[in-house]
Amino acid sequence: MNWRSARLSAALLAIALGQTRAGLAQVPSPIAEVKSILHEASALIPMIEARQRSAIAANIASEQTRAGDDEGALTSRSSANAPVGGVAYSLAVRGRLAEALQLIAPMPPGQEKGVAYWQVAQGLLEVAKYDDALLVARLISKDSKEADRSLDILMQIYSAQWKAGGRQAAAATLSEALKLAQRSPELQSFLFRPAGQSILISSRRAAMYERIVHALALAGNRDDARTVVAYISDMAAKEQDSEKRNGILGTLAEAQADIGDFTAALLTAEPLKSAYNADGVLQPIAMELARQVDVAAALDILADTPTRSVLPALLGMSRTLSDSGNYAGARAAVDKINDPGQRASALASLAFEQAVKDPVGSKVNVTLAWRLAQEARQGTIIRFSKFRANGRRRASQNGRCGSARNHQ
Amino acid sequence: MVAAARARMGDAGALEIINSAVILNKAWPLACLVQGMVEAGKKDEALSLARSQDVPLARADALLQIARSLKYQIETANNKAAPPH
Repeated sequence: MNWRSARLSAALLAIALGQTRAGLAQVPSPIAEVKSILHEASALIPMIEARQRSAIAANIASEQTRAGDDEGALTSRSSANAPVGGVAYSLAVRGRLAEALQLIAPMPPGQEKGVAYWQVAQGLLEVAKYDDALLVARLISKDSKEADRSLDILMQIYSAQWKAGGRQAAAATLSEALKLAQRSPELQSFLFRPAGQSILISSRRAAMYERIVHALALAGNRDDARTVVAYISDMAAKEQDSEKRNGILGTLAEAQADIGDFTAALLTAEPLKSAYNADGVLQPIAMELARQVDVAAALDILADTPTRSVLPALLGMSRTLSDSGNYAGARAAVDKINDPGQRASALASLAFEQAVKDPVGSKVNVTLAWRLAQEARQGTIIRFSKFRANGRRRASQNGRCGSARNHQ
Repeated sequence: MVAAARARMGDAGALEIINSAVILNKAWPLACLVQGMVEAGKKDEALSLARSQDVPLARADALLQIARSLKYQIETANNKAAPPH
């Protein structure tokens, strides 16, 4: 090769490399493209209606943090004074727990701080960092008003440890959850006392024990679940005030249903049904009966429930059954809803949940939901014009597509 | 909810409902629709649909969902290339 041909080869190589570089510059790396799209979304934040701005800004900032764009996340969050929880969650997932906690630490005690810590714990559970999640649960419990949130995380950690076969670690977490229930200040509450009628006064401690029972039963630890049910039973036996005792017994019935002892649950609930605020006593029993054993029998129990409480009970039952993949059972519960608009909404919700796992059933339900929705809308317009009453309600939506992998 | 369910099923008719006047909040079903489009390999169409939205919330939410779906694909590919120990 002479110098002329060598120079030509070098020139051609330079052109080829240049073209390659130019080509690469036009096609950004996948993560750079994600950052760029999030930057584009972030730029829209100031144009979004004020009441919706903060939530979307928090979600964008969270995704930017997860994509490694800290600067962009700060800009998004600052532009709407968005809560820090989403960013803290993403930092925790990326192994930057100290930074996540530093972000939350200066916040005043209260619900917002508790929620932010809760989000961090969800991130840690996602990456199976259970010891770190325990640390966060303890931070939450420093505010006694947030004890329920701390308990929720402890039982999530327990379930994950139990499922992973870490029985010793799970036992230690359970012990911590029980101690939290025992040391949390007791709150006995009721909303309204009508003259001359007895009421159920609920107990926070009994309710915390019931949530422990529920988690234990779901994990499959029936022995420990029975032990904790006995704690609630002891509380009821020791309580002197009849309305407070009946409140504890209502929670006991729920816990008995959690462990599948439906005969005992119904026996416990029976004498409570005459109390003014006892509508909800049978609902959790029916819900568990439907989930564990028999949807038809559960719907029979709800037939005795006062009309005002039937809708939330049926919606709750449908959601529970849909979550466990029992779409036929969920549909049976939805079919019992009388109001066409509410039934349409519940059917569409069910169709949404089953879309991925049961597309055929989803299509049937969504078609019926659409027809019912149109009929209900028509009915509402007629009612509106006749009585000037606004009867329309929209289903609440969480602002994002509910695919399982996007739940945080 | 109906539009979101149809979008999640990958039903093209979802867009018709989203674009109709009966939908007051388009952001959520639109996010479901663009997510499905990205999963089906139609990223550019999803971006075009997101960018065609007049309402800033709907546009921002759709872009956010596209970014989420792309990031999920990247993480899935990374996990396949280097499975966790």
